[in-house]
Amino acid sequence: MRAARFCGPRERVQQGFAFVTEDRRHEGLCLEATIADNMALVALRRHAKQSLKLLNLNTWRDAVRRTREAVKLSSGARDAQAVRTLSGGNQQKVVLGKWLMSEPHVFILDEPTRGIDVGAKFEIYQLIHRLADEGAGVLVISSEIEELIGICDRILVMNRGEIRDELRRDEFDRERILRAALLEGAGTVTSART
Amino acid sequence: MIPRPLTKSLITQTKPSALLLVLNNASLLLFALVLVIFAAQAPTFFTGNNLLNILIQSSSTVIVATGMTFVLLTAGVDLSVGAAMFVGAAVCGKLLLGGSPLPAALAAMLGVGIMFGAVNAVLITRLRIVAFIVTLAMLFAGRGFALRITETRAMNLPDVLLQLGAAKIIGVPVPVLVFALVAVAAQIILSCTSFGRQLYALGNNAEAARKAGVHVRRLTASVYLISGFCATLGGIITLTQLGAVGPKFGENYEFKAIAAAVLGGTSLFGGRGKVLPGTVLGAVLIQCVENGLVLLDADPYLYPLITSAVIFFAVLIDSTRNQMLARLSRRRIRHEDLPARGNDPASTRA
Repeated sequence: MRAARFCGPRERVQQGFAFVTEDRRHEGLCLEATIADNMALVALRRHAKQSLKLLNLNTWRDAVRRTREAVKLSSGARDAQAVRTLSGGNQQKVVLGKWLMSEPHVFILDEPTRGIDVGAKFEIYQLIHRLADEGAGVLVISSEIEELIGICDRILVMNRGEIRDELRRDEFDRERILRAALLEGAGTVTSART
Repeated sequence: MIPRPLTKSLITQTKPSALLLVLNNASLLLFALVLVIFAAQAPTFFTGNNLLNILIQSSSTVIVATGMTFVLLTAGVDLSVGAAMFVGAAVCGKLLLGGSPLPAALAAMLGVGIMFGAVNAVLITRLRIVAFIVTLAMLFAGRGFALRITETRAMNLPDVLLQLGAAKIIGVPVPVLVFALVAVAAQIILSCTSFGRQLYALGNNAEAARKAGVHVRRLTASVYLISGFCATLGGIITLTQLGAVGPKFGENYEFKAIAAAVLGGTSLFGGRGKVLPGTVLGAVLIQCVENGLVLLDADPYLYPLITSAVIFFAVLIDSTRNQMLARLSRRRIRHEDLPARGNDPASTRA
Protein backbone atom coordinates (compact mmCIF):
# COMPACT_ATOMS: atom_id res chain seq x y z
CA MET A 1 0.00 0.00 0.00
CA ARG A 2 1.43 3.32 -1.07
CA ALA A 3 0.47 6.64 0.38
CA ALA A 4 -1.43 8.62 -2.23
CA ARG A 5 0.16 11.83 -3.42
CA PHE A 6 -2.24 14.68 -4.08
CA CYS A 7 -2.95 14.86 -7.79
CA GLY A 8 -5.68 15.59 -10.32
CA PRO A 9 -8.39 13.36 -11.77
CA ARG A 10 -6.32 12.36 -14.80
CA GLU A 11 -3.58 10.66 -12.76
CA ARG A 12 -6.16 9.03 -10.50
CA VAL A 13 -8.02 7.58 -13.47
CA GLN A 14 -4.77 6.17 -14.80
CA GLN A 15 -4.08 4.62 -11.40
CA GLY A 16 -7.38 2.76 -11.67
CA PHE A 17 -9.75 4.91 -9.67
CA ALA A 18 -13.34 5.54 -10.66
CA PHE A 19 -15.35 8.46 -9.31
CA VAL A 20 -19.10 8.56 -9.80
CA THR A 21 -20.10 12.11 -8.99
CA GLU A 22 -23.24 13.10 -7.13
CA ASP A 23 -23.95 15.75 -9.77
CA ARG A 24 -24.18 13.64 -12.90
CA ARG A 25 -25.77 16.32 -15.07
CA HIS A 26 -22.96 18.80 -14.57
CA GLU A 27 -19.94 16.68 -13.80
CA GLY A 28 -20.73 13.16 -14.90
CA LEU A 29 -22.22 13.26 -18.36
CA CYS A 30 -22.02 15.04 -21.66
CA LEU A 31 -25.77 15.44 -21.95
CA GLU A 32 -25.89 16.24 -25.65
CA ALA A 33 -23.53 13.42 -26.59
CA THR A 34 -24.64 9.89 -27.34
CA ILE A 35 -24.78 6.96 -24.94
CA ALA A 36 -21.92 5.26 -26.77
CA ASP A 37 -19.70 8.35 -26.64
CA ASN A 38 -20.36 8.90 -22.96
CA MET A 39 -19.64 5.30 -22.09
CA ALA A 40 -16.42 5.14 -24.08
CA LEU A 41 -14.98 8.40 -22.76
CA VAL A 42 -12.86 7.07 -19.88
CA ALA A 43 -11.78 3.92 -21.67
CA LEU A 44 -10.40 6.12 -24.47
CA ARG A 45 -7.68 7.17 -22.03
CA ARG A 46 -6.21 3.70 -22.26
CA HIS A 47 -5.03 4.66 -25.74
CA ALA A 48 -3.36 7.69 -24.13
CA LYS A 49 0.06 6.89 -25.51
CA GLN A 50 -1.32 6.89 -29.03
CA SER A 51 -4.04 9.49 -28.93
CA LEU A 52 -3.90 9.98 -32.69
CA LYS A 53 -4.06 6.27 -33.50
CA LEU A 54 -7.24 5.15 -35.18
CA LEU A 55 -9.76 3.55 -32.87
CA ASN A 56 -10.94 0.09 -33.71
CA LEU A 57 -14.63 0.88 -34.04
CA ASN A 58 -15.64 -2.79 -33.94
CA THR A 59 -14.07 -3.59 -30.59
CA TRP A 60 -15.27 -0.21 -29.40
CA ARG A 61 -18.89 -0.99 -30.23
CA ASP A 62 -18.47 -4.43 -28.75
CA ALA A 63 -17.21 -2.97 -25.47
CA VAL A 64 -20.14 -0.55 -25.37
CA ARG A 65 -22.58 -3.42 -25.92
CA ARG A 66 -21.06 -5.55 -23.15
CA THR A 67 -21.06 -2.63 -20.72
CA ARG A 68 -24.69 -1.86 -21.49
CA GLU A 69 -25.57 -5.40 -20.53
CA ALA A 70 -23.46 -5.24 -17.38
CA VAL A 71 -25.27 -2.16 -16.07
CA LYS A 72 -28.65 -3.34 -17.43
CA LEU A 73 -29.29 -0.18 -19.40
CA SER A 74 -32.82 -0.02 -20.76
CA SER A 75 -32.87 -2.00 -23.99
CA GLY A 76 -35.09 0.64 -25.58
CA ALA A 77 -32.24 3.15 -25.61
CA ARG A 78 -30.20 3.29 -28.78
CA ASP A 79 -26.42 3.71 -28.68
CA ALA A 80 -26.69 6.86 -30.80
CA GLN A 81 -29.34 8.43 -28.56
CA ALA A 82 -28.44 11.61 -26.65
CA VAL A 83 -28.00 10.95 -22.93
CA ARG A 84 -30.21 13.97 -22.22
CA THR A 85 -33.27 11.98 -23.32
CA LEU A 86 -32.75 9.20 -20.76
CA SER A 87 -34.39 8.86 -17.35
CA GLY A 88 -32.34 9.58 -14.23
CA GLY A 89 -31.82 5.90 -13.54
CA ASN A 90 -30.60 5.15 -17.03
CA GLN A 91 -28.36 8.22 -16.97
CA GLN A 92 -26.77 6.95 -13.77
CA LYS A 93 -26.27 3.56 -15.41
CA VAL A 94 -24.45 5.26 -18.27
CA VAL A 95 -22.18 6.97 -15.73
CA LEU A 96 -21.48 3.65 -14.02
CA GLY A 97 -20.95 1.97 -17.38
CA LYS A 98 -18.47 4.66 -18.36
CA TRP A 99 -16.31 3.75 -15.37
CA LEU A 100 -16.83 -0.01 -15.64
CA MET A 101 -15.50 0.12 -19.16
CA SER A 102 -12.13 1.38 -17.96
CA GLU A 103 -11.88 -1.54 -15.47
CA PRO A 104 -10.81 0.35 -12.34
CA HIS A 105 -9.74 -1.21 -9.02
CA VAL A 106 -11.32 1.34 -6.71
CA PHE A 107 -14.79 2.85 -7.07
CA ILE A 108 -15.80 6.02 -5.26
CA LEU A 109 -19.56 6.38 -5.54
CA ASP A 110 -20.93 9.71 -4.36
CA GLU A 111 -24.67 9.42 -3.72
CA PRO A 112 -25.02 6.71 -6.39
CA THR A 113 -28.79 6.45 -6.09
CA ARG A 114 -29.75 10.10 -5.94
CA GLY A 115 -32.77 10.97 -8.03
CA ILE A 116 -33.37 7.59 -9.60
CA ASP A 117 -36.27 5.16 -9.54
CA VAL A 118 -36.60 2.16 -7.25
CA GLY A 119 -35.94 -0.43 -9.94
CA ALA A 120 -32.71 1.23 -11.03
CA LYS A 121 -31.72 1.67 -7.37
CA PHE A 122 -32.00 -2.05 -6.80
CA GLU A 123 -30.00 -2.84 -9.92
CA ILE A 124 -27.26 -0.43 -8.83
CA TYR A 125 -27.07 -2.12 -5.41
CA GLN A 126 -26.71 -5.47 -7.17
CA LEU A 127 -23.97 -4.03 -9.32
CA ILE A 128 -22.10 -2.71 -6.24
CA HIS A 129 -22.28 -6.17 -4.66
CA ARG A 130 -20.98 -7.79 -7.81
CA LEU A 131 -18.09 -5.35 -8.10
CA ALA A 132 -17.10 -6.04 -4.50
CA ASP A 133 -17.35 -9.80 -5.06
CA GLU A 134 -15.07 -9.48 -8.03
CA GLY A 135 -12.44 -7.85 -5.82
CA ALA A 136 -12.90 -4.12 -6.42
CA GLY A 137 -12.76 -1.68 -3.52
CA VAL A 138 -15.98 0.29 -3.26
CA LEU A 139 -16.37 3.47 -1.24
CA VAL A 140 -19.95 4.69 -1.07
CA ILE A 141 -20.70 8.21 0.11
CA SER A 142 -24.31 8.55 1.10
CA SER A 143 -26.64 10.36 3.45
CA GLU A 144 -29.21 7.57 3.42
CA ILE A 145 -28.70 5.33 6.44
CA GLU A 146 -30.88 2.51 5.10
CA GLU A 147 -28.84 2.36 1.94
CA LEU A 148 -25.57 2.20 3.88
CA ILE A 149 -26.78 -0.47 6.26
CA GLY A 150 -27.93 -2.47 3.27
CA ILE A 151 -24.73 -2.47 1.25
CA CYS A 152 -21.77 -1.77 3.54
CA ASP A 153 -19.26 -3.93 5.36
CA ARG A 154 -18.01 -0.97 7.35
CA ILE A 155 -19.42 2.49 7.96
CA LEU A 156 -17.36 5.56 8.78
CA VAL A 157 -19.36 8.50 10.02
CA MET A 158 -18.09 11.91 8.98
CA ASN A 159 -19.01 15.16 10.65
CA ARG A 160 -17.46 18.52 9.81
CA GLY A 161 -14.62 16.97 7.86
CA GLU A 162 -13.64 14.48 10.56
CA ILE A 163 -14.30 10.79 11.01
CA ARG A 164 -16.40 10.59 14.22
CA ASP A 165 -17.20 6.91 14.38
CA GLU A 166 -16.45 3.59 12.76
CA LEU A 167 -18.85 0.66 12.76
CA ARG A 168 -18.36 -2.92 11.60
CA ARG A 169 -21.24 -4.81 10.07
CA ASP A 170 -22.28 -6.49 13.33
CA GLU A 171 -22.30 -3.13 15.14
CA PHE A 172 -24.59 -1.29 12.71
CA ASP A 173 -26.98 0.81 14.72
CA ARG A 174 -29.08 3.66 13.39
CA GLU A 175 -29.00 5.65 16.59
CA ARG A 176 -25.26 5.42 16.99
CA ILE A 177 -24.71 6.54 13.40
CA LEU A 178 -27.09 9.45 13.77
CA ARG A 179 -25.60 10.54 17.07
CA ALA A 180 -22.11 10.64 15.60
CA ALA A 181 -23.32 12.42 12.49
CA LEU A 182 -25.49 15.02 14.18
CA LEU A 183 -23.49 15.67 17.34
CA GLU A 184 -22.43 19.14 16.28
CA GLY A 185 -24.60 20.27 13.43
CA ALA A 186 -25.14 18.46 10.18
CA GLY A 187 -22.85 15.66 9.14
CA THR A 188 -22.31 13.29 6.26
CA VAL A 189 -22.15 9.57 6.42
CA THR A 190 -19.43 7.78 4.58
CA SER A 191 -19.08 4.11 4.20
CA ALA A 192 -16.71 1.64 2.74
CA ARG A 193 -17.04 -1.81 1.39
CA THR A 194 -14.21 -3.97 0.17
CA MET B 1 -71.36 -0.49 -12.65
CA ILE B 2 -67.80 -0.77 -13.85
CA PRO B 3 -65.88 2.40 -13.03
CA ARG B 4 -64.27 3.92 -16.07
CA PRO B 5 -61.18 6.05 -16.01
CA LEU B 6 -61.90 9.74 -16.05
CA THR B 7 -59.47 10.53 -18.78
CA LYS B 8 -58.10 8.46 -21.55
CA SER B 9 -54.57 9.16 -22.68
CA LEU B 10 -53.98 8.79 -26.35
CA ILE B 11 -50.31 8.53 -27.05
CA THR B 12 -49.46 8.95 -30.66
CA GLN B 13 -45.93 8.83 -31.93
CA THR B 14 -45.37 11.35 -34.69
CA LYS B 15 -44.21 9.86 -37.93
CA PRO B 16 -41.09 11.38 -39.44
CA SER B 17 -42.75 14.06 -41.47
CA ALA B 18 -41.48 15.79 -44.57
CA LEU B 19 -40.90 18.90 -42.47
CA LEU B 20 -38.58 16.94 -40.20
CA LEU B 21 -36.57 15.78 -43.17
CA VAL B 22 -36.31 19.32 -44.52
CA LEU B 23 -35.16 20.66 -41.16
CA ASN B 24 -32.53 17.98 -40.70
CA ASN B 25 -30.93 18.81 -44.03
CA ALA B 26 -31.51 22.56 -44.02
CA SER B 27 -28.02 23.62 -45.07
CA LEU B 28 -27.87 20.99 -47.81
CA LEU B 29 -31.18 22.19 -49.22
CA LEU B 30 -30.09 25.80 -49.10
CA PHE B 31 -26.97 24.73 -50.95
CA ALA B 32 -29.03 23.01 -53.64
CA LEU B 33 -31.32 26.03 -53.87
CA VAL B 34 -28.41 28.41 -54.42
CA LEU B 35 -26.99 26.11 -57.09
CA VAL B 36 -30.32 25.88 -58.90
CA ILE B 37 -30.95 29.63 -58.83
CA PHE B 38 -27.54 30.48 -60.21
CA ALA B 39 -27.63 27.68 -62.76
CA ALA B 40 -30.95 28.99 -64.05
CA GLN B 41 -29.74 32.59 -64.21
CA ALA B 42 -26.20 32.14 -65.48
CA PRO B 43 -25.65 29.39 -68.04
CA THR B 44 -21.92 29.28 -67.39
CA PHE B 45 -22.41 28.64 -63.67
CA PHE B 46 -23.09 24.94 -63.84
CA THR B 47 -20.16 24.00 -66.03
CA GLY B 48 -17.40 21.70 -64.84
CA ASN B 49 -14.86 24.42 -65.31
CA ASN B 50 -16.69 26.90 -63.16
CA LEU B 51 -17.44 24.37 -60.41
CA LEU B 52 -13.75 23.47 -60.32
CA ASN B 53 -13.02 27.19 -60.10
CA ILE B 54 -15.30 27.48 -57.09
CA LEU B 55 -13.44 24.64 -55.40
CA ILE B 56 -10.09 26.26 -56.15
CA GLN B 57 -11.25 29.64 -54.87
CA SER B 58 -12.74 28.20 -51.70
CA SER B 59 -9.78 25.97 -50.85
CA SER B 60 -8.00 28.43 -48.56
CA THR B 61 -11.22 29.23 -46.69
CA VAL B 62 -11.92 25.51 -46.26
CA ILE B 63 -8.48 24.92 -44.78
CA VAL B 64 -8.65 27.88 -42.39
CA ALA B 65 -12.22 26.93 -41.43
CA THR B 66 -11.13 23.36 -40.72
CA GLY B 67 -8.72 24.61 -38.08
CA MET B 68 -11.45 26.92 -36.79
CA THR B 69 -13.84 23.97 -36.47
CA PHE B 70 -11.44 22.27 -34.04
CA VAL B 71 -11.37 25.41 -31.90
CA LEU B 72 -15.15 25.90 -32.04
CA LEU B 73 -15.67 22.26 -30.99
CA THR B 74 -14.03 23.07 -27.65
CA ALA B 75 -16.31 26.12 -27.28
CA GLY B 76 -13.38 28.45 -27.96
CA VAL B 77 -12.76 30.82 -30.84
CA ASP B 78 -9.66 31.86 -32.77
CA LEU B 79 -9.91 35.39 -34.17
CA SER B 80 -6.20 35.56 -34.97
CA VAL B 81 -6.19 33.29 -38.06
CA GLY B 82 -6.21 36.18 -40.55
CA ALA B 83 -3.38 37.89 -38.69
CA ALA B 84 -1.40 34.64 -38.61
CA MET B 85 -1.85 34.38 -42.39
CA PHE B 86 -0.62 37.94 -42.86
CA VAL B 87 2.43 37.61 -40.60
CA GLY B 88 3.27 34.24 -42.14
CA ALA B 89 2.94 35.58 -45.67
CA ALA B 90 5.03 38.64 -44.82
CA VAL B 91 7.80 36.50 -43.34
CA CYS B 92 7.60 34.10 -46.27
CA GLY B 93 7.75 36.97 -48.76
CA LYS B 94 10.73 38.60 -47.04
CA LEU B 95 12.59 35.29 -47.06
CA LEU B 96 11.80 34.62 -50.73
CA LEU B 97 12.88 38.10 -51.79
CA GLY B 98 16.01 37.64 -49.66
CA GLY B 99 16.88 34.61 -51.76
CA SER B 100 15.75 31.73 -49.55
CA PRO B 101 14.64 28.54 -51.26
CA LEU B 102 10.87 28.10 -51.61
CA PRO B 103 10.47 25.09 -49.26
CA ALA B 104 12.31 26.90 -46.46
CA ALA B 105 10.14 30.00 -46.87
CA LEU B 106 6.94 27.95 -46.82
CA ALA B 107 8.12 26.00 -43.78
CA ALA B 108 8.85 29.31 -42.04
CA MET B 109 5.32 30.45 -42.84
CA LEU B 110 3.85 27.30 -41.26
CA GLY B 111 6.19 27.90 -38.31
CA VAL B 112 4.68 31.35 -37.84
CA GLY B 113 1.21 29.77 -37.70
CA ILE B 114 2.30 27.27 -35.07
CA MET B 115 3.91 30.10 -33.07
CA PHE B 116 0.64 32.04 -33.17
CA GLY B 117 -1.16 28.95 -31.96
CA ALA B 118 1.42 28.41 -29.22
CA VAL B 119 1.11 31.98 -27.90
CA ASN B 120 -2.69 31.70 -27.93
CA ALA B 121 -2.52 28.32 -26.22
CA VAL B 122 -0.19 29.50 -23.45
CA LEU B 123 -2.27 32.59 -22.72
CA ILE B 124 -5.53 30.63 -22.73
CA THR B 125 -4.50 27.50 -20.85
CA ARG B 126 -1.84 28.86 -18.47
CA LEU B 127 -3.01 32.39 -17.73
CA ARG B 128 -6.65 31.36 -18.19
CA ILE B 129 -7.62 34.41 -20.22
CA VAL B 130 -10.79 34.11 -22.30
CA ALA B 131 -10.03 32.84 -25.83
CA PHE B 132 -12.01 35.66 -27.43
CA ILE B 133 -9.84 38.35 -25.80
CA VAL B 134 -6.53 36.55 -26.31
CA THR B 135 -7.07 35.93 -29.99
CA LEU B 136 -8.52 39.41 -30.54
CA ALA B 137 -5.34 40.87 -29.05
CA MET B 138 -3.29 38.55 -31.26
CA LEU B 139 -5.28 39.75 -34.26
CA PHE B 140 -4.27 43.37 -33.70
CA ALA B 141 -0.73 42.57 -32.56
CA GLY B 142 -0.19 40.28 -35.56
CA ARG B 143 -1.54 42.70 -38.14
CA GLY B 144 0.45 45.54 -36.64
CA PHE B 145 3.61 43.46 -36.64
CA ALA B 146 3.12 42.37 -40.25
CA LEU B 147 2.45 45.95 -41.39
CA ARG B 148 5.71 46.91 -39.71
CA ILE B 149 7.81 44.27 -41.44
CA THR B 150 6.21 44.90 -44.83
CA GLU B 151 6.30 48.68 -44.24
CA THR B 152 2.67 48.63 -45.45
CA ARG B 153 3.86 48.10 -49.01
CA ALA B 154 2.70 45.32 -51.27
CA MET B 155 5.35 42.73 -52.13
CA ASN B 156 5.32 41.03 -55.49
CA LEU B 157 6.68 37.55 -55.04
CA PRO B 158 8.57 35.31 -57.49
CA ASP B 159 6.57 33.46 -60.13
CA VAL B 160 7.36 30.05 -58.58
CA LEU B 161 4.51 30.64 -56.19
CA LEU B 162 1.96 31.26 -58.92
CA GLN B 163 3.27 28.25 -60.82
CA LEU B 164 2.81 26.15 -57.69
CA GLY B 165 -0.77 27.38 -57.37
CA ALA B 166 -1.57 26.55 -60.98
CA ALA B 167 0.16 23.15 -60.90
CA LYS B 168 -1.82 19.95 -61.25
CA ILE B 169 -1.10 16.51 -59.87
CA ILE B 170 -2.86 13.73 -61.80
CA GLY B 171 -5.19 16.33 -63.24
CA VAL B 172 -6.20 17.78 -59.87
CA PRO B 173 -5.15 21.36 -59.10
CA VAL B 174 -2.80 21.52 -56.11
CA PRO B 175 -5.08 23.79 -53.99
CA VAL B 176 -8.00 21.35 -54.34
CA LEU B 177 -5.71 18.45 -53.51
CA VAL B 178 -4.47 20.15 -50.32
CA PHE B 179 -8.05 21.11 -49.42
CA ALA B 180 -9.25 17.52 -49.83
CA LEU B 181 -6.33 16.09 -47.86
CA VAL B 182 -6.82 18.51 -44.97
CA ALA B 183 -10.59 18.00 -44.80
CA VAL B 184 -10.42 14.19 -44.94
CA ALA B 185 -7.57 13.99 -42.42
CA ALA B 186 -9.39 16.36 -40.06
CA GLN B 187 -12.61 14.38 -40.19
CA ILE B 188 -10.79 11.08 -39.58
CA ILE B 189 -9.02 12.62 -36.59
CA LEU B 190 -12.31 13.94 -35.23
CA SER B 191 -14.39 10.81 -35.53
CA CYS B 192 -11.92 7.93 -35.38
CA THR B 193 -9.26 8.85 -32.83
CA SER B 194 -9.48 9.18 -29.09
CA PHE B 195 -8.14 12.74 -29.48
CA GLY B 196 -11.16 13.67 -31.59
CA ARG B 197 -13.66 11.93 -29.35
CA GLN B 198 -12.24 13.69 -26.33
CA LEU B 199 -12.56 17.04 -28.11
CA TYR B 200 -16.30 16.52 -28.48
CA ALA B 201 -16.57 15.54 -24.81
CA LEU B 202 -14.57 18.61 -23.78
CA GLY B 203 -16.84 20.87 -25.80
CA ASN B 204 -19.97 19.23 -24.47
CA ASN B 205 -19.07 19.39 -20.81
CA ALA B 206 -15.58 20.45 -19.82
CA GLU B 207 -16.01 19.54 -16.16
CA ALA B 208 -17.28 16.04 -16.93
CA ALA B 209 -14.42 15.55 -19.38
CA ARG B 210 -11.87 16.63 -16.76
CA LYS B 211 -13.34 14.28 -14.17
CA ALA B 212 -13.23 11.47 -16.71
CA GLY B 213 -9.47 11.90 -16.95
CA VAL B 214 -9.31 13.93 -20.15
CA HIS B 215 -6.21 16.12 -20.33
CA VAL B 216 -8.25 19.30 -20.81
CA ARG B 217 -5.30 21.70 -20.89
CA ARG B 218 -3.34 19.74 -23.48
CA LEU B 219 -6.42 19.31 -25.67
CA THR B 220 -7.28 23.00 -25.49
CA ALA B 221 -3.71 23.96 -26.34
CA SER B 222 -3.61 21.57 -29.29
CA VAL B 223 -6.68 23.01 -31.01
CA TYR B 224 -5.06 26.45 -31.14
CA LEU B 225 -1.88 24.93 -32.58
CA ILE B 226 -3.99 23.14 -35.20
CA SER B 227 -5.86 26.36 -35.96
CA GLY B 228 -2.64 28.35 -36.34
CA PHE B 229 -1.15 25.69 -38.59
CA CYS B 230 -4.27 25.50 -40.76
CA ALA B 231 -4.41 29.30 -40.97
CA THR B 232 -0.94 29.57 -42.48
CA LEU B 233 -1.49 26.51 -44.66
CA GLY B 234 -4.57 28.29 -46.04
CA GLY B 235 -2.39 31.40 -46.30
CA ILE B 236 0.09 29.52 -48.47
CA ILE B 237 -2.74 28.54 -50.81
CA THR B 238 -3.89 32.18 -51.02
CA LEU B 239 -0.30 33.23 -51.62
CA THR B 240 0.06 30.81 -54.53
CA GLN B 241 -3.13 32.25 -56.01
CA LEU B 242 -2.31 35.94 -55.57
CA GLY B 243 1.46 35.88 -55.98
CA ALA B 244 1.71 38.96 -53.79
CA VAL B 245 1.38 40.13 -50.18
CA GLY B 246 -0.54 43.35 -49.62
CA PRO B 247 -1.58 45.15 -46.42
CA LYS B 248 -5.02 43.55 -46.64
CA PHE B 249 -3.70 39.99 -46.90
CA GLY B 250 -5.82 37.59 -44.85
CA GLU B 251 -8.17 40.32 -43.70
CA ASN B 252 -11.58 39.14 -42.45
CA TYR B 253 -10.53 35.52 -42.79
CA GLU B 254 -11.49 34.88 -39.19
CA PHE B 255 -15.09 35.77 -40.00
CA LYS B 256 -15.14 33.84 -43.25
CA ALA B 257 -13.85 30.79 -41.40
CA ILE B 258 -16.32 31.09 -38.54
CA ALA B 259 -19.19 31.68 -40.97
CA ALA B 260 -18.22 28.60 -42.99
CA ALA B 261 -18.04 26.42 -39.87
CA VAL B 262 -21.32 27.68 -38.44
CA LEU B 263 -22.99 27.41 -41.84
CA GLY B 264 -21.86 23.79 -41.83
CA GLY B 265 -23.64 23.11 -38.55
CA THR B 266 -20.83 23.65 -36.04
CA SER B 267 -22.09 25.01 -32.76
CA LEU B 268 -20.42 28.09 -31.29
CA PHE B 269 -21.02 26.59 -27.84
CA GLY B 270 -18.87 23.55 -28.53
CA GLY B 271 -19.39 19.84 -28.83
CA ARG B 272 -21.22 19.78 -32.14
CA GLY B 273 -19.87 19.99 -35.68
CA LYS B 274 -18.08 18.18 -38.44
CA VAL B 275 -15.49 19.10 -41.03
CA LEU B 276 -16.90 16.77 -43.64
CA PRO B 277 -19.44 17.55 -44.97
CA GLY B 278 -20.30 20.46 -42.61
CA THR B 279 -17.51 23.02 -42.70
CA VAL B 280 -16.46 22.16 -46.26
CA LEU B 281 -20.02 22.58 -47.46
CA GLY B 282 -20.32 25.91 -45.66
CA ALA B 283 -17.13 27.31 -47.19
CA VAL B 284 -18.03 26.11 -50.69
CA LEU B 285 -21.55 27.54 -50.32
CA ILE B 286 -20.19 30.99 -49.47
CA GLN B 287 -17.87 30.80 -52.46
CA CYS B 288 -20.74 29.64 -54.71
CA VAL B 289 -22.74 32.71 -53.82
CA GLU B 290 -19.83 35.04 -54.52
CA ASN B 291 -18.98 33.25 -57.77
CA GLY B 292 -22.60 33.24 -58.95
CA LEU B 293 -22.96 36.95 -58.29
CA VAL B 294 -19.88 37.67 -60.37
CA LEU B 295 -21.28 35.59 -63.25
CA LEU B 296 -24.59 37.42 -63.00
CA ASP B 297 -22.79 40.77 -63.28
CA ALA B 298 -24.43 41.87 -60.08
CA ASP B 299 -23.62 45.22 -58.54
CA PRO B 300 -20.37 44.62 -56.59
CA TYR B 301 -21.75 46.62 -53.66
CA LEU B 302 -24.43 43.96 -53.31
CA TYR B 303 -22.00 41.04 -52.86
CA PRO B 304 -21.45 41.37 -49.12
CA LEU B 305 -25.14 42.04 -48.53
CA ILE B 306 -26.31 38.95 -50.41
CA THR B 307 -23.57 36.75 -49.00
CA SER B 308 -24.42 37.81 -45.47
CA ALA B 309 -28.13 37.28 -46.12
CA VAL B 310 -27.47 33.67 -47.19
CA ILE B 311 -25.30 33.07 -44.13
CA PHE B 312 -27.89 34.67 -41.91
CA PHE B 313 -30.69 32.48 -43.24
CA ALA B 314 -28.65 29.31 -42.91
CA VAL B 315 -27.77 30.08 -39.31
CA LEU B 316 -31.32 31.18 -38.55
CA ILE B 317 -32.71 27.90 -39.86
CA ASP B 318 -30.09 26.02 -37.89
CA SER B 319 -30.82 27.73 -34.60
CA THR B 320 -34.59 27.49 -34.84
CA ARG B 321 -34.24 23.92 -36.08
CA ASN B 322 -33.39 22.47 -32.70
CA GLN B 323 -36.48 23.94 -31.07
CA MET B 324 -38.67 22.81 -33.95
CA LEU B 325 -37.15 19.34 -33.91
CA ALA B 326 -37.84 19.06 -30.21
CA ARG B 327 -41.42 20.15 -30.75
CA LEU B 328 -41.95 17.80 -33.67
CA SER B 329 -40.41 14.73 -32.09
CA ARG B 330 -42.25 15.20 -28.82
CA ARG B 331 -44.84 12.57 -28.13
CA ARG B 332 -48.32 13.90 -28.37
CA ILE B 333 -50.36 13.07 -25.32
CA ARG B 334 -53.98 14.03 -25.69
CA HIS B 335 -56.29 14.00 -22.72
CA GLU B 336 -59.84 13.27 -23.65
CA ASP B 337 -62.27 14.20 -20.95
CA LEU B 338 -65.05 11.72 -20.76
CA PRO B 339 -68.46 12.70 -19.42
CA ALA B 340 -67.84 13.55 -15.79
CA ARG B 341 -69.55 10.47 -14.45
CA GLY B 342 -66.91 9.75 -11.80
CA ASN B 343 -67.24 13.21 -10.30
CA ASP B 344 -70.90 12.76 -9.71
CA PRO B 345 -71.44 11.40 -6.18
CA ALA B 346 -74.74 9.89 -7.25
CA SER B 347 -73.12 7.62 -9.80
CA THR B 348 -70.46 6.38 -7.37
CA ARG B 349 -73.18 5.42 -4.95
CA ALA B 350 -75.15 3.64 -7.59
